Amino acid sequence: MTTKQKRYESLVQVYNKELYRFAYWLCQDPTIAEDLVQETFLRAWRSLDALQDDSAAKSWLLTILRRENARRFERKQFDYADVEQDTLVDATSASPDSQTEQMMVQRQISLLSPEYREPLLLQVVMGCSGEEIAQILELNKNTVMTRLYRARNQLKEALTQVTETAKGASN
Amino acid sequence: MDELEFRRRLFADPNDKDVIAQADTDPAKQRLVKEMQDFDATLHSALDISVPDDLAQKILAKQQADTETSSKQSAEVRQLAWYRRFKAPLATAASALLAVSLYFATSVQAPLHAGEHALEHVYYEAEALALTDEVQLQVVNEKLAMFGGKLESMPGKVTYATFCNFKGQRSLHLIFQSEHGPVTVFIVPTDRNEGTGTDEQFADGRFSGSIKPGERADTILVADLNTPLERYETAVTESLRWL
Repeated sequence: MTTKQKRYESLVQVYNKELYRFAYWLCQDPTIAEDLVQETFLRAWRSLDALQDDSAAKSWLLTILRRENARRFERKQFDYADVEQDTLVDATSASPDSQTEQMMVQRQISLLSPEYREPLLLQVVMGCSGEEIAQILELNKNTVMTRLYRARNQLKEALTQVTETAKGASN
Repeated sequence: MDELEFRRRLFADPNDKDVIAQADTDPAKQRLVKEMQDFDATLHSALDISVPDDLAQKILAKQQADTETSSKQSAEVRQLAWYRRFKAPLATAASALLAVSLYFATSVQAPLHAGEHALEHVYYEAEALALTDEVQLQVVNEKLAMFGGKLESMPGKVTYATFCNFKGQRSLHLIFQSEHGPVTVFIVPTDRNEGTGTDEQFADGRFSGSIKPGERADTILVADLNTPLERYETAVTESLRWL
């Protein structure tokens, strides 16, 4: 096996899951998320020589993926893949209670506006630092930190509201 | 760092060491740090959706197919290097030939819309033809069960099985490896209950195909030219059972 091939395979092993989760929350469709990740890695393979430093791999892959996602809106959709695939989104959870809580949280995350959701995903799912997020999103770091603050603030408020309504209803 | 600044920075990053250090002597701040870290754990598990099992494999298969195609192409380019000199006249001749053959191809064969669609579909997912990992028959049947069908056997190793949209109809798209190369099979459910249409054949310069209408589903095969399609068509349709 060539060195290039080995290097590529280790990138796939390390990042495929994280990237899929990020893609899923970006487009909220398992089929599209999978296509995005596949396309991202294919492009990464074709230009792997451009990646000088493996420590920059994560940001590099994320940049490719975001570009692919943006391209999706530009080109005419070729509607062959079936949208209602047999993939179900289930977070790994235990009790029914924590399941409902998880669904509430998931719903609120999907309701966040993209400008708040995306930095939060980069931080929580991808483990990116403020600087990395700023670089990937081409924003300055203060803007990123403000958006992260607002994202958590909105989520917390929304979830408190939902829980209180639920409590009120059961009283 | 004042209260507001503390809160803003903690919300922006609950693991920020400077912020956590600020809370050392302040129980109220410590509570907020704990609260936000718990909240992040909740977010983390909510975002932690399951990933398709074979994703890494599929990514690597796609890259392998890409590598093979591009090395094949560069070999062809090397082989054909002499041809550069004759490029313009040959290209003209080739396009004229293409136009003529297209004219004859379309006039000889009646327009078969399902066939055209099948070919287009195979070209669109051409990368899938290069896959080599086996898909178990059981997995195929789990999908087929959604249409109420079952395959007793397949005339070759199945390497691709997915739902697809065939002219608006949710269908099963399979590829199996025959001794003549990969054969694509579309199982397209129909709601035609009595009587069946007639068999049809179609082809282009690379693939030939056949359509076998059935009571519950049409079976469409596409394979490289010169593949004995009839044999495989019989094998597939005879092993197809409906509940």
